[in-house]
Amino acid sequence: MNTETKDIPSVDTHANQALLSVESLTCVRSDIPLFSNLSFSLGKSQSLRILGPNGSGKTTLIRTMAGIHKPAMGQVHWNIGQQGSRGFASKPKIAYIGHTTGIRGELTAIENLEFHARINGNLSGISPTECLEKMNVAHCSKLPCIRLSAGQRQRVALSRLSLNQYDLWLLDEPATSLDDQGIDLLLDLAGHHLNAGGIIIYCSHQSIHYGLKHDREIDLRNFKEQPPQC
Amino acid sequence: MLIAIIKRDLRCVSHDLSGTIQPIGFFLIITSLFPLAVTPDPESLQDIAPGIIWISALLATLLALDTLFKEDFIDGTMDQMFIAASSLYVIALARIISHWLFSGLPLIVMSLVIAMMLHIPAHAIDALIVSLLLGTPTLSMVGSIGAALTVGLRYSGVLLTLITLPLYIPILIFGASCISADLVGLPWTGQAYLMGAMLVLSITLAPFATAAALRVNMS
Repeated sequence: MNTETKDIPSVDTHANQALLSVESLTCVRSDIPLFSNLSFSLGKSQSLRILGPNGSGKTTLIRTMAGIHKPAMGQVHWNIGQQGSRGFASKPKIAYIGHTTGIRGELTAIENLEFHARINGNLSGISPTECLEKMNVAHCSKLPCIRLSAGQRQRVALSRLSLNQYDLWLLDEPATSLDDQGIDLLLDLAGHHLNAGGIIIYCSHQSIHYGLKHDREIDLRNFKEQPPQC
Repeated sequence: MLIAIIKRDLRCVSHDLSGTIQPIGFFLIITSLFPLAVTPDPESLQDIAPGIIWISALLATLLALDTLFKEDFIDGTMDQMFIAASSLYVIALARIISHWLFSGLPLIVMSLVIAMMLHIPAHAIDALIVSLLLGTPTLSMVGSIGAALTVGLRYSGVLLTLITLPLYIPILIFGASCISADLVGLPWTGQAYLMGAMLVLSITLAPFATAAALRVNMS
């Protein structure tokens, strides 16, 4: 973990060139402006925590970073050309854990992970069973996911993070329905991911208690446009 | 990606058959009710058989359309597939192919049994098979546009039917007339060619329209 960036959060250090930069992003949902002119950049091994009250656009920002939503203005830019060492292909590899788990109830945990490995092109060579072991849910890998508890399903969803060498993790309230052990396992995985040069962007209301390290914070309240006075 | 999605759907079906059995059961029920309600007389049944088979096939396809994208949409799999592929076209195409494999194809097999029940003579079976082989994929293709447009709605059944049915009418007309023509010994290749043309047109254009409709619903 690079501690320098924590002291001077607004300036990029020379050692850590911006890999991902967001330029004057403006997002609108159902005609309501959520935030505007949001800019930040992140380099290797950096993490960003998004703060803000309910409805301030945390999920929208994360989904925009994932490319699911189109921003009203601004852009998300990846500095891919310079990053030879991490072996980029043509586009960054993004892992997204959202409010909906993306886990199919009829399928077993293993089958779910196999499907995700297949659509993402499994490059790290880790088998789905190993991924499940990392989140300590390998014992229920043969059950249809619909029979698992909410916490177990969340663990299966989080096991996806180990399937591949992702460049960016987008975690939207990842600790939802996880127990303390689950949170510890997630923190372990996150630590490894950051050490390997990955980026994490997350929002979580519980993080104060479990303390996932972050280099930067963005409070979306600071980017909220005041409604025009009539 | 395409094969991965179809493989997953195959697995889902093997774990939980209820979704696949529903449209096929529906097809069997409607077609078997007609002889009971109208007439058991072979001559009259033969006259209305093409219509019965095609209407039932069309309604059974509609029934299966509702879940075409909805499950993936609700459980978040659509987001994951979109991030992995960043092309909704492939996702749409894969889902349409599995829709046909698990509703259209079993329906064609079932229609052989139904044909016996409705006293369709053996010489008209080829027209029946060809018309369904050309027609049911078109139904899946065209229907996917409606399914994608209504994916965000909780109860989309009626709206989906309203959007899709007008587009189904030409397929219904030519499909039924294919079999009717063969029953009375007239050539039916003209209808078959037209249905082939409609299939090619829908394969070319429908996945694009479906992908665009999904995109609207996602953002």
